[in-house]
Amino acid sequence: MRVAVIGAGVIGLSTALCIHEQYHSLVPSLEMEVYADRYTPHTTSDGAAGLWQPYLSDHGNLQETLWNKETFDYLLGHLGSPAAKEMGLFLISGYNLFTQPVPDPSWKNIVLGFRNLTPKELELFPGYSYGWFNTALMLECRSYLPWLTNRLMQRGVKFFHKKVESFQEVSDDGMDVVINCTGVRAGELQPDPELQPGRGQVIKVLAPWVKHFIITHDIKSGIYNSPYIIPGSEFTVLGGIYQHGNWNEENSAQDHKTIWENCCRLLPALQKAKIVQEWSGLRPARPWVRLERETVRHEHFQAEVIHNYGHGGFGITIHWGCAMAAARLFGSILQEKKLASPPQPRL
Amino acid sequence: MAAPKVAVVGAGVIGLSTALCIAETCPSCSVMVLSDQFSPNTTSDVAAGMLIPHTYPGTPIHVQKQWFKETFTYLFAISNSAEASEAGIHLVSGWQVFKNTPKEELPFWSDVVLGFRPMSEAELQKFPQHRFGQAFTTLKCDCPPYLLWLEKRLKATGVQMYTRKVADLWELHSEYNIVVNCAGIGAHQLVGDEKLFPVRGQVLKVHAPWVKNFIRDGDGLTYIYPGIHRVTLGGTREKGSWSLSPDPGATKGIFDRCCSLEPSLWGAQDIKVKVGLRPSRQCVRLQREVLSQGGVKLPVVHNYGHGAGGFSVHRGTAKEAARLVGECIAALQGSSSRAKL
Repeated sequence: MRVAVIGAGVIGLSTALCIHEQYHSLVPSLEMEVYADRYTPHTTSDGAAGLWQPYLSDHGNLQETLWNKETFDYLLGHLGSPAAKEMGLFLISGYNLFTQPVPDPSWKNIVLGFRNLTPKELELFPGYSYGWFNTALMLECRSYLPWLTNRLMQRGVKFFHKKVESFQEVSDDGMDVVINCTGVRAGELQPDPELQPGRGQVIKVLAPWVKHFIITHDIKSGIYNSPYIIPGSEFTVLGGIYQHGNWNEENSAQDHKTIWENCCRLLPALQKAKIVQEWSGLRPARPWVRLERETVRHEHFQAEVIHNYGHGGFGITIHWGCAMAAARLFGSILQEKKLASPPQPRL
Repeated sequence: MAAPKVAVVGAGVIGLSTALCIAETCPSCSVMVLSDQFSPNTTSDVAAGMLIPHTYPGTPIHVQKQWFKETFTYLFAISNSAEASEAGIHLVSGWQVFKNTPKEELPFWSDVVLGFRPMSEAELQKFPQHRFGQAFTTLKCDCPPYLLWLEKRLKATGVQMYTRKVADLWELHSEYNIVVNCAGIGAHQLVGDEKLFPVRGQVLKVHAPWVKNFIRDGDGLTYIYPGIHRVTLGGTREKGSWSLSPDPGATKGIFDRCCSLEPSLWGAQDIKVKVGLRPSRQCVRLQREVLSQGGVKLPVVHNYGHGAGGFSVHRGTAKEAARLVGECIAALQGSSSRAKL
């Protein structure tokens, strides 16, 4: 049983690990290979600050809310383990700020200690009249992706630096199942008009006195188009750009100015912070995550494909729930191929 | 009196903040700071500088609360300004956890810190040995940055600082009109205060930049306070011990206790051990005294004995000390005009 995982961002690597962990002992012939043209630290995941926080509204997508919760609980369970530091996993508290009252989010009972801000706390943020405080998790991909890679290599999973041009290509190589975790460029393997880039830009600075995340929201300008400040274990990430449909991965001077001015207005002490790096990336935006099976047929080849892409700006937040769901789909493929079904009682 | 000459003895957080308050409230004063130690070698430099008050048995609670509130308000404004990083002042959130529910569930300072509330069941699950907890956000004064920032502000207002070991306050009577005694634990010898005693504190300052929240055991013995560059792990409270030498047994004890509260600390790097002697007393000695010898008088304002709570109340006691200096000046001016009659 040969499995090809395409894509080595947080989705590809975690899905690979989840499937391998669950099925390797059930399917001794399982051989897994990862194909990607970009590996850490050059994936979209590497640019993210790594804060676990879903969008404000789940748009009735309860499935995704459940996957977010599964991810949070899974990570919380790893907090006390020796692996946490190597994974880049730690607790962090912080603020979500609004210019008007808003309903509580779907994730208020998933995070720890969720509450509204007091008037005195709001004094810290002139211009904002309402907000939340909670404790959540950070999962820094510049640590997490290498950690996942090490776990996979220990399990004998092979890695290839290669851009896959078509499903047929991997099927011709003898792959039985293809896990499609190609993120924003999934459209190159199979057209998907629902998938669009949500371009973001961030400035990484040295500001170790900042201990809280601060995320502002401007309901009119939309998600991530309002300044945010997220302190990591080494750098603090300043952001607040979301440009739907923009494929440009080059840093924009105008966006730099927007981010810098807005974040310094939010936290005046940032003016003294040293800028270390600037980065742009394309969030793989989709109305909902594409997580489903497909039998891809073309002339004389057929491949079982599990799609797992379109996680927008919440990939880290939702990754493990999606990996588990993809693993369940993998299990159903195995059952159909009668490779991992439990012994049937003889009637 | 044209320009009263005021000597402030001591350059820890109390000495420097008191000198600054005096310079602010009495612009005509000529203020000088005298100390045998300056940052980074003061007791204040060892402390984490967390704004979590210690309770003084001998001071009325409403006074302690006033001091804390003044200090918190003052630092809150700095933390919110462009100077925050230079001054070493930053907000930090976290938890105080108790193995047994404390007698006092609402400390007197609960409405001064931000967002104070009991911890939820889900939050307490992270601390399986503890049954009750409080979550809040407070301020931290990182040293040396805060002390260096105070020194910079002092120099900008014309206050000079001198390295000098003062053996006896009286030796200053010919050069200064008023002496302010902020000698901390040094007051034991300097003015022979038998009521002042050390409470030895050993801490570890470690590199663990992923620790963003503070954790404190309500018994006061174990705490984890993330600063700008280092996390302070504590601690010990050894009453009556004058030893400034690090104790390896205490180091292991502190590290083990902190790791049991926060397991990720096992990965902490570059552990530095520090020791400080908390200048402890039933109550802060914040009062005037007049020393006299052979008809010559020297007004003194004492401001020492802050024990474990120096940072939490420093601005409040500095302002009170500056007020007392004002009284001394008025008394001196009164007596000098009487002398003319």
